Amino acid sequence: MKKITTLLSLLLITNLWASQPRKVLIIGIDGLRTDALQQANTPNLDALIASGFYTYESWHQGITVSGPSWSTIMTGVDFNKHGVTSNSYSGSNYNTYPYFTKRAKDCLPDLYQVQIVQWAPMSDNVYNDAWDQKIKVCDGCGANSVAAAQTQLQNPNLDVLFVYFDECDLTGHSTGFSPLNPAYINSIQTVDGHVGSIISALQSRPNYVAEDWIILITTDHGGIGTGHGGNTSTERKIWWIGSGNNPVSNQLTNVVDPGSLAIGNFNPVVAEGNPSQDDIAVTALDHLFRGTQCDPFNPAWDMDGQSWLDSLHVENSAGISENVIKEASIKIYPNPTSEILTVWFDNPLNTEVNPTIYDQLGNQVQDFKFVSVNQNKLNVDVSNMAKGAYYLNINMGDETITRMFTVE
Amino acid sequence: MKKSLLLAVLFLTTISYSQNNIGSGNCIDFSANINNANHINLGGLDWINLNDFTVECWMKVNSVFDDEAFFSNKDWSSGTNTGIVFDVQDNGNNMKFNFKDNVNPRKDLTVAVQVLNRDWFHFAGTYKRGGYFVVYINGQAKDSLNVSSITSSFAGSYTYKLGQDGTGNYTWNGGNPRYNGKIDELRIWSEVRTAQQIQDNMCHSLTGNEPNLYAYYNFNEVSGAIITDLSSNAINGNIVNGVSANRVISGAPIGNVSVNKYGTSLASQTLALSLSNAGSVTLNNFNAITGVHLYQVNNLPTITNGLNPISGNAGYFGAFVCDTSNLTSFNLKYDYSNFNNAILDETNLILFNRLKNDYSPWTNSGSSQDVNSDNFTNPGITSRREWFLGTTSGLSCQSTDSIYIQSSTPTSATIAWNSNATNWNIVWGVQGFDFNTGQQVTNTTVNPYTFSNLASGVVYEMYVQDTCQGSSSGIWTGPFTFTGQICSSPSQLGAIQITSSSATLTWTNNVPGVSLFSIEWGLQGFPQGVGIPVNNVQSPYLLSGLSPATSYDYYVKTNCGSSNSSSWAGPFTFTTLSTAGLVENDMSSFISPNPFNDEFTVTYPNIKNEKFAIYDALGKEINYNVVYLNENQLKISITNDQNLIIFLQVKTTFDSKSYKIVKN
Repeated sequence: MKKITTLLSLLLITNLWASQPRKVLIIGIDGLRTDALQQANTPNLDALIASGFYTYESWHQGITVSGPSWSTIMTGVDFNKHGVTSNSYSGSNYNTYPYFTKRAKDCLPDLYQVQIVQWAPMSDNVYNDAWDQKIKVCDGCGANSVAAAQTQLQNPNLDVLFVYFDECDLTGHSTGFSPLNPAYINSIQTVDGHVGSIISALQSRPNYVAEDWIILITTDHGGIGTGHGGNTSTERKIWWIGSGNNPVSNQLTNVVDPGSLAIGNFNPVVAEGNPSQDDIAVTALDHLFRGTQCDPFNPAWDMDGQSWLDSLHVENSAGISENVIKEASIKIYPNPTSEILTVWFDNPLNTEVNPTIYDQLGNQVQDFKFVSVNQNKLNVDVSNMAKGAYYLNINMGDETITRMFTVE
Repeated sequence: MKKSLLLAVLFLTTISYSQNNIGSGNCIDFSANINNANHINLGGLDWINLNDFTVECWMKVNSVFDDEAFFSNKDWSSGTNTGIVFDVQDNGNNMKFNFKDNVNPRKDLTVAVQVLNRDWFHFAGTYKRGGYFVVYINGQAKDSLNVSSITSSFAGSYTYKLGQDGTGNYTWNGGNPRYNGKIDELRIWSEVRTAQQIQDNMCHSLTGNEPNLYAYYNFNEVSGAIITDLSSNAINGNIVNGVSANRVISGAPIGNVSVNKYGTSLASQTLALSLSNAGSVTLNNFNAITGVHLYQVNNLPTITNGLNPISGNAGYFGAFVCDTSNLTSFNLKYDYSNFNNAILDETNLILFNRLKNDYSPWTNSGSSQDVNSDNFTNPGITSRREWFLGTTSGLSCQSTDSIYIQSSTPTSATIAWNSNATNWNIVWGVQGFDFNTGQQVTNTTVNPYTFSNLASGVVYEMYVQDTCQGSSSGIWTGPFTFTGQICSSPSQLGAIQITSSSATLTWTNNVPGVSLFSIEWGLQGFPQGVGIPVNNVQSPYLLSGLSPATSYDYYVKTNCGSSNSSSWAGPFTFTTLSTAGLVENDMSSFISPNPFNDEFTVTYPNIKNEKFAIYDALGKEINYNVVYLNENQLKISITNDQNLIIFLQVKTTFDSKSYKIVKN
């Protein structure tokens, strides 16, 4: 008998107050290629993906270089507007298209916003950004960034925190951006540890449950060989994650590539509704501004991005506790697949995970390989399996989750 | 007996050779004709080319064009030419040394020594064949260069020059060839001198008969093109493209006798010298000083401008501080009990001072006189100085003395002085300013006088003189050293009323009239710059929203006004209380009803697996009955008749929290 459970019911208690202060944490991880993230053992990011929102198919619409990319992420407009086309930052037009933090501060002057970066040009070459503190630590010094973030997260008045890590990019440039490069994978796992430390510090805030945080994590570009800046898929296909106190379990897959302004084949109609880098700033503004008189979509700002706030965050009604039935969260990617199938799942009790695969006739199949597994993620190598539909069972203690997938 | 013989010899020398041998005497000033390749040709100095040697001299650099050779026998248009170059460069921030024998690759050493805008300093370079070249500044080793690869001769096409490269007409980058400054007391030794030998001899003149002294130039001739070598080798030099203004009075700190102290901790050390019919000088309480010299000059000074000597005065004293920090200071005691004429004129005595030999005028040092002990004392002298004991007898104007600071703010200082006069001239400027170009306040009747718009942390000096109501002028008194009120850091940092979520930070203000401070706080051990800043606050300051059982650091500094703030004090570390038994956040929506009568329901994720306890307000555990409704809910009954405030403490994996509940 197959034991198939498609929903895991969890009774969660959500505590709600009328005026939960809305806050934003953005973590930027430079040069983290999507397929390498998929294959690395990253329990902290996986836990956020399992319970929250993610896409591995946010197609880069601009120049796959740090300066232009982070400018797009933080301004909500593409390089043809913010003007940054290289790491020299020459041509920047932050006066007309500033960081979202400037838009936020203009309307909500009491916001306290802090940036912690390792790559100095991101701090030195950016202006009109309205950060209350711009903290620089040395290149590759992720532990220093974490320590700075842990202190900043002690500030009850903190509203926006941006923490940036460049270990993956540095390692990629020196030894190769590739999931086959153990040094690169190791750097990803190191940064995942940093992310875990920051999330832990965030959740330890004394008033955390009374605050309404969204967490946005993304990269600026992928890589190929020991570089990036071109328009290959491994440079352009990037990922991001949305989470927070009140996350929505969601995934965006099978996104069609809308092309790129850098290539000259950008199709705005295809891009409509697609996740992209310029969405991060707009989503952050939407969250900070909701319930205020401020308009995150002010047409005068000429934003290119859109808000994914309602796709990754639950709005609370005021004042009372309520019980929320949460759908069991299981995500698989990609589907269909021919090589690696990645599965993320909630595992709140941290029990042992036993995965099995059955064919459509209910026969257990053996010709696959579990590449790696942690409390929230499972990678299955299906390259030796015959084409067709299969069932993946994930047994966690008393619960078994089953998902169908296709090998092509 | 012996001393007077020496004096007689010196006197004779002065007359016979038209020399200024008093103290540092004269020196060579290359700035007098800097655009015309003005230099001194020292000749072959053959010893240097193949042997151990030491070159030392006193220098004062006016400006640095760049890459200016001051001692060289090579064509400096290329470093690969044979010969050596000693040079000042990089806007006066470096000295460079270049050695190239006629076989092997050259060796270079660049030493970070700020020479520009610096007072007279002493340079020494010791060269050990097959070993090291070592650079000393003011008697302290600064850097060294391994020259073991140099095996052959430095002899090239040119003789040794002072103030130029070997060619005598070097131009750099099309600019004028020049060493723009002064040089005095050039000594070339045929041996490697030790640090102690350098220190023990740099502040007094030599006889020329010292062992291994290869060449010795004191530049004390007052005219002519000949530069006399006082050593037995008689390697006289020759001024090329010279002008009479090359010969000027030297400001190098050189006496007939000197003593010194070097070391990292001189606070308890003492320097003393005594000269009959002049006085006995004792220096002590050396602060921020790692090298100091005391010297005496057995003559009346060359420049007597402003001086009113006592009959029979046999000489004067000077002190030289090797350190350039503006924090240096020391104390002076000038005892005149060995000077009979001074004791006879005791009520009129005045201890004059000046900065150095080429500085005018002599001024009243403002020292305090103790007639019972026959001495003057002056604490907190900040830089090199010379002292001469004189008298006010016969002077018409009033003297001024005992200058003191009456009050100050971080940007101003109000200075008063004791004087029976009614009108005064004032000259003031930043410490070390040239008296002749200082800021002037003429014939003022204002005493005390307020100097405003002072810069933070800058040390100033002032001089004051009676104007005889505008008709004449008295002795200048000074320099009096002052600063605006130092914007001191707060002290006695503390944290009181610490709870699990807050602490009240306290500190003591050390700047009267100032009441605003800045704080930076964060987790214990945070590096400054990444902490959380709080500006313009006062003590006590309440820090809230903290995490329980967490250690924090904070720093605090004084805000003294526009961009003028103290250095940070701290860190002070405090630790918030654990939440156990204490009221935590208002989480009452977990608890229903609250207030309750006999029972209440707790709704908490997975509370079935969490540890919890209930305490009264005194922290004593209370008995209760519990019924588990499901994994996330339980019902607690407390059945007694008391009205109580109780606390539910829930311990989770991460921490514990307590919630306040009221029983009716």
